[in-house]
Amino acid sequence: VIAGGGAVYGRKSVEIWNVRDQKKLGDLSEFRSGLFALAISHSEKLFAVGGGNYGSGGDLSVWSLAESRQIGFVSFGEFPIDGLAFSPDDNVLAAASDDGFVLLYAVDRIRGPQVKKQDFACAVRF
Amino acid sequence: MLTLLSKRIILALATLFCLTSAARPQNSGENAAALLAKLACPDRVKDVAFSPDGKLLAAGYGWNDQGGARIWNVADHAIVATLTIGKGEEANIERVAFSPDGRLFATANWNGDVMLWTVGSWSSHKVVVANRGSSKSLTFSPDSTKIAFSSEDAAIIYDLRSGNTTVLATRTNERNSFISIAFSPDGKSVILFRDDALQMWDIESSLSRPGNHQALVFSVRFQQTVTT
Repeated sequence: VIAGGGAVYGRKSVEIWNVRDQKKLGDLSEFRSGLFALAISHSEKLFAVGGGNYGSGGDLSVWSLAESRQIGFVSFGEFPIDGLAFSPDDNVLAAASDDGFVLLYAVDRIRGPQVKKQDFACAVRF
Repeated sequence: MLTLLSKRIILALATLFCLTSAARPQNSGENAAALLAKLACPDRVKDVAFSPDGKLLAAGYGWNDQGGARIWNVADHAIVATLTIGKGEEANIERVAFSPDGRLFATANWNGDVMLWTVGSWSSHKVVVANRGSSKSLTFSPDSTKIAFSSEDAAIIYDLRSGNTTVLATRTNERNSFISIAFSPDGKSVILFRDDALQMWDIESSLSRPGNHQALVFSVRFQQTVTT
């Protein structure tokens, strides 16, 4: 059982825990801007974190769960990403944007700079 | 002729622009191609959810009191329904969720009201949790018989069959807002994230003996210092 774990203000990290034995599997640190959403793919191969800063855009990054490695990064609009959901087949990632849009991304096309811009996680997901 | 002050302002603006540009990663053409669609809502979008069969997509929105929930067909992006309840802050929807059996849709608003809707008809709703503080997290159990809801003030399990509401925990200080809640895949426990701790609760014990500390399976408190 895997939980995508959240951290706290100031900690600037996303933590991955194995709930069964309560051991931490991954700790992704050095994020730079707010993080407001987290989703784990149905295959449990990927997870996505969303966030950003008001006025400078919404940030979305996709990660390999097993390796805690960033696969891609996307920035959109002026305001943060507040919610994320993988489609049941994991092909599409929907992002709730404070700009007033639902953004639909093709998961296998999200690539780009290896930049960690989010700050703190505030979600747990199995 | 530019005054010294004007030059300094221009220099400052140019520097700010350069710093902003440098700090902000530009999207590659590859990522522009990743964006399949932008579906518009009347206000800031706060949450999204796919129906279990992947045919419907729902969004909860609201910030400037233009709130509601909108449902689209994934195949053609046609709007299936726009749901609005109340006026002002209570109309702002913070969280949305589909039941795993695909029959129900739930919304949670700024006031901590959780509403249930029937997928397909969308015509009527039922308030199952009322006025429990700003909504943070909303999810159905894997067998679609329960809802877990967390807010600034409380973590709650609602049983759809009995109609019973069980409060797992309430806020005791300024810091412990209930940021997120999730069911385990077997539906026997929930994991709860308060501001600085992960807690796991056994559902059966919690529902049969509310407030029983035995129901708290574990609690992991995050350290405030970075460890290496």
